[in-house]
Amino acid sequence: MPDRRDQLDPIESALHEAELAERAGVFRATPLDARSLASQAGSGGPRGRRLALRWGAVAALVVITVLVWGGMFASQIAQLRTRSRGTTILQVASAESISSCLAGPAEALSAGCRAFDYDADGDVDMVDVSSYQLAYAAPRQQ
Amino acid sequence: MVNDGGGDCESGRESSDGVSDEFLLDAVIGGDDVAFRRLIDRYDRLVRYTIFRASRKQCLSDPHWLDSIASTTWSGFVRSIRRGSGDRPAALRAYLVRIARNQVAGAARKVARPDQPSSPALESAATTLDDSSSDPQQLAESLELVEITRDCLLELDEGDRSLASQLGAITEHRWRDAADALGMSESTLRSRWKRVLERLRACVERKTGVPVAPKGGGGDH
Repeated sequence: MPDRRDQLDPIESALHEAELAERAGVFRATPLDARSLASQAGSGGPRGRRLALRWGAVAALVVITVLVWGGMFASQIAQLRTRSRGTTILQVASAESISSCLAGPAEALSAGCRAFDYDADGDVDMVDVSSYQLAYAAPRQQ
Repeated sequence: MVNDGGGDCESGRESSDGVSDEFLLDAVIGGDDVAFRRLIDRYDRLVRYTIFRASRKQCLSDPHWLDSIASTTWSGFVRSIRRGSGDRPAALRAYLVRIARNQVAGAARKVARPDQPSSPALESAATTLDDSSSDPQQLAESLELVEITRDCLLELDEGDRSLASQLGAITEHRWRDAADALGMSESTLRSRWKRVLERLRACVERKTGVPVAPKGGGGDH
């Protein structure tokens, strides 16, 4: 109706507009997933940010806890290894040394064997060997 | 024509359920899908009408155009309020109208010239936006009139409603030719048409509270 648009009664214009709008689908509802869209809106708003901060804090706490305990655990393992290694080395060295120093009762101490005279009786005998074994049954930290 | 309740009441629908746009918007930002559905129910028709006014040809020629643009308008609205964080749009109706028009402009550009560089002249030709459809208040008033006219049409008796459906035949031709096409005398057609318009006018005035003056009477065309 291009030629008579300015001649139409307002009611005629409204009728025409209503007819076209009906034909175009203006009065239909837009197909939407309101729940999905609303959740997208919510995740970016203040509530969403609070949730994100909360979970972020929890995650950070978990990570820190894991790092701390993991570090402590690793440190313990390292100490255990060092201790055991050191003890083993000491045990081997001591076993070799005491055997070379073992001379029997009433025999004079050889050079470098005084450390194995546990009962301080002037010799390295089986009593001293027994004392040595007791000392290294539960390894001590050097 | 819109009986504005003042404040943030921009349409008659808020006054009926007593919930403001601001309240609904806060709830939507909080992820409340029920509030979002209420917002959609409140403004979806205005969004669709805005798209229709901005792109009549596409709406009438492509049955999916309107649904598609309206969907992207609502998605765009959600994205914008997410980005906006604490900033609420001052007037939700105007905000949605603006988004709808932007979506129409963007879609029209893509349809018309997908592979050519844009220029003001090309964009002007490609986008068929009706400038007069940018005022949210005017759009809301036009939509209200259209909706009320539609309601009043349903209140007519069957004979008058049937004649009203021949709007195109009556207004696009001379009275004589229209009467011949409809199988009645010219005088019968004129009087019946005048009665239909009077009844519709009375109904519209009753519902809106605003007089609708006739224009030019039922002169010859």
